[in-house]
Amino acid sequence: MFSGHQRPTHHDHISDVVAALEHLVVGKSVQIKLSLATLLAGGHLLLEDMPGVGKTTLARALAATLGFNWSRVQFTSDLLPADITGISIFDVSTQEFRFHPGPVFTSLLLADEINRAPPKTQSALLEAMEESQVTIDGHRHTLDQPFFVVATQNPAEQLGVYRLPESQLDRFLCCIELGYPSADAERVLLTGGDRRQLVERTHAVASIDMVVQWQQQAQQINVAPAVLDYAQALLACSRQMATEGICANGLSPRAGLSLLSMSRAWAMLNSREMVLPEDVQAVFTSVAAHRLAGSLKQGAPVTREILDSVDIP
Amino acid sequence: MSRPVEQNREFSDSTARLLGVTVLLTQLPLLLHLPLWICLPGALLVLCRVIPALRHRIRLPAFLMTPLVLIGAAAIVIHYGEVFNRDPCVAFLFLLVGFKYLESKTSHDASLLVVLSAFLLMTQFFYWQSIAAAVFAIPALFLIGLSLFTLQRGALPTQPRFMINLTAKLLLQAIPVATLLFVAVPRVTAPGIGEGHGNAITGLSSRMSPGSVASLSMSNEVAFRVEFHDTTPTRHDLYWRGPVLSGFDGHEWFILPRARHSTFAETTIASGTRARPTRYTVTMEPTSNPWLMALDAPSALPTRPARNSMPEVIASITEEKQLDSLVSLNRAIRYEAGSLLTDRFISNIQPGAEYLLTTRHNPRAQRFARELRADFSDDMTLANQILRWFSTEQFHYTLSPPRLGEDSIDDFLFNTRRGFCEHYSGSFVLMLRAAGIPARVVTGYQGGEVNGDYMIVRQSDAHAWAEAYIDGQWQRFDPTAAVSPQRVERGMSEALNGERTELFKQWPLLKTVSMQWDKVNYQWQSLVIGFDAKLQNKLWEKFGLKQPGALGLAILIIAVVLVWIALILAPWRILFGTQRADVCQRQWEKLCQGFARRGIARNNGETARAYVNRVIQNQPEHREKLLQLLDSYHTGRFGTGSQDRVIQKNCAAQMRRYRRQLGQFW
Repeated sequence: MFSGHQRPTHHDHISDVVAALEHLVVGKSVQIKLSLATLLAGGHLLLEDMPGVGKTTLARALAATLGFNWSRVQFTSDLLPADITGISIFDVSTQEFRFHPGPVFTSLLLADEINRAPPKTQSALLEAMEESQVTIDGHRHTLDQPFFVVATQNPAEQLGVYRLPESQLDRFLCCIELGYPSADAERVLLTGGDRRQLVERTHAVASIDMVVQWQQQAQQINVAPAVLDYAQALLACSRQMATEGICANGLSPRAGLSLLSMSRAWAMLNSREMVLPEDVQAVFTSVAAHRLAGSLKQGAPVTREILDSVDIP
Repeated sequence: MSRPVEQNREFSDSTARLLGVTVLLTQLPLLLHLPLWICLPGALLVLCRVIPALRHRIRLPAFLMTPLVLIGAAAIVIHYGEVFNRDPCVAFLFLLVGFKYLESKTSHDASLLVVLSAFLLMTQFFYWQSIAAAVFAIPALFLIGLSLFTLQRGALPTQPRFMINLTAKLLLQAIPVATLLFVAVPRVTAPGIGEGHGNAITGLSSRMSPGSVASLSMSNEVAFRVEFHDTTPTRHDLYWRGPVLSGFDGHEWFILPRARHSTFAETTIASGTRARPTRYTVTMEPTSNPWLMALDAPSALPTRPARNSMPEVIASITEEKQLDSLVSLNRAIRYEAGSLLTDRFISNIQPGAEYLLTTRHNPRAQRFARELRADFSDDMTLANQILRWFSTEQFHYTLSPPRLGEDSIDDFLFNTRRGFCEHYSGSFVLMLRAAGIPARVVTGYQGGEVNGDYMIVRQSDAHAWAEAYIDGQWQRFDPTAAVSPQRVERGMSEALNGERTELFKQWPLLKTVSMQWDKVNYQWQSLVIGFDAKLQNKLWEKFGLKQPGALGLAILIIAVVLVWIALILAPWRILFGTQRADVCQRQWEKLCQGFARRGIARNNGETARAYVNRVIQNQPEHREKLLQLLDSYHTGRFGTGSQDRVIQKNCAAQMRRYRRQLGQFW
């Protein structure tokens, strides 16, 4: 517990993580911090982008710097739920079923191109995300904590994709896009060595225990009534816009909770013990856009409009 | 620990000092009204405990206390010669508070002392009811509250700043209740304790000798104020009739005692006489005289509203049309009267020999009048001839006439020829009497100064004129006007032609200020002091209600007070639908307003940091202060302790300090 004007001790380590990540993923500091904030808030991350801009690199860099074990599932149209969760196989030698855990039993799961898989498979993953457990053949298998899913999604205009329904998009705390790198960053990427090798050579600067501790600390960050007022006003405004037909849905109370926990984590990343309206603003688009319009691209202008029209109390 | 013991614990030194200052402040206004031999010991009793240097030196032994109080009481009774009257009671209370303070040790004593002080503070209004008195009472009232609340706190912490804030808050909350009680509770028109000598001014006198009115003329004090119900009469008609002086002993004019008083004022005038009826309300300053003033000639007796809303007649009128008050004038009084504006009225009573009395003094004046009589047989012509004589001969109107000899009128008429209105009116009446025309001197006031919607009549407007009985009518003559027409036309100060160095003439602004102050005073007199049953009734009528009975009134007051308490206690959110703007937010908004005035307004939805950064871009020299201010704002409004009032206030204070450094002072 920290209080008063005492500097939080976690901060140095977190800034180490941020620095290491910035070294690996060049020119994307905002996205890096948002990803970390999602992890600290105990949520899951959705990356919405075209192939080849570094989604996978970001996920692997996160796992590497935080010291997480990780696994990757490439979602395809013929992927089955068992390919994710695992399967029980009859062992002849012992004469009983033995459970073979799937890739979901890990700390960081990279679910690549999640919207290429059929809905049934998608929902298997989403259940694991929501419940932190999988049930196979009547047996409940609990996942380790932290369990962090980084899913990537191709833009919906591409062929052969199953759009994630809104209810499932809601499970992702945060949705960001990486976008093309800036000219300087791109030059570094082009001239530097292979990113994959760089990631593999990276030493972890944090551990699972530390992350769990940070997650607990993030929950202690103070949210003043004024900030709650502001968050509520934002929610109300989004609902107003939904009724006016500007966006598809208003924000749910769960979205409100997500907004607050994201804001807390963001404040913590900025080494503050209190959430400021600016924290809420910083995370608002990534928390709200995909919930409002089904995709980041369509939702971002709406969130901008909401932020401009709601004054800070 | 039983509760009584808790309540009866001894109070601290700082509480004792607070109590002492409270008692001194409540004693202070009375120093003006009580004799010195009471004031000094009364105040000293308190001082010797308040002043730290004396506190441990002077100790009054407990066994001396009772004898000393008894001696004080005896001295007061001997001094005043009575017991159950206002002055001895106030004086005794004054001393008693001092003794009580000296012996107070426990908080129980102290509570009693505070209540006594509150009562003592109230007694000053027996003597003095001006705005100044009310203003004077405020600090004492505040300290009484402060002492009381400090005592109530018991063992709880009592930081001065906190207690002062608390007292101010509680007293402010009490104002609406006090106002309600003032407005709604029926007026008690109880005579007695409130009536005393007060600050009554002398004003006109029942005797007039050369120089007596002139001395009055030096006084700028207000005699009374008048509101006319219709148009204000012209200056020529503004003869305020006071005591009528028919008696003469050769030197002085005086009031003849009259047996016949009437409570029915009737003024009959001859047909063809110009006369305009008028009604007006007079607010008289306290006076020790028994006369009420009315415009010449009074046609309706002065009345004041009574409780049953029937006007109460407060004066009787003599056959000389002099208004004798039936009530005490020691306090300011407000009455309504009516007059016929005329300079002559019919009298059916043939004037007696006393109106012709001349005495053996002033033989030359009498001889002169008889000589004139031989030339002019008509009374009216004769009177006018004397007036003409005054204006053609070298007579001067002056405030500082030379001293006159034994036969003062002779001396004045034929030697000095310099005089004030009493000289002219007196000698005029004497000459008329010598010529066989019944005549008398009338004193009062002439003129008045219009100030907005009312008129001020001052002591300096005091005047004396003459009345003569000609053709069955009493006819007014103003010999002063014959000598100095300006006296009536423009007022006395104009007529005296710079004889008095007038302060107001040199500084016109001072005059304006003084007139405005008079206006405020008049409002105070008529609306606060003069808030009587009639005004109260009017107020009820304004709300479309009848004056409620005692039970109704009690229910009403209790209901309003309960609603008020509920309003005070109700959370801000319920009353106004919004969260009460916290102190830091208010400071922040002021900062934003300040910079908005300089052209940097905060945009909708712009965060504090973004805005401050924008301001810093514009005014880089303020960078440090702005960033510190931002820090305080964030801590006070959003920080871990932002729900703590103390932290909020501290942060707001820091923000205000930074704002001052930025040049924002409010």
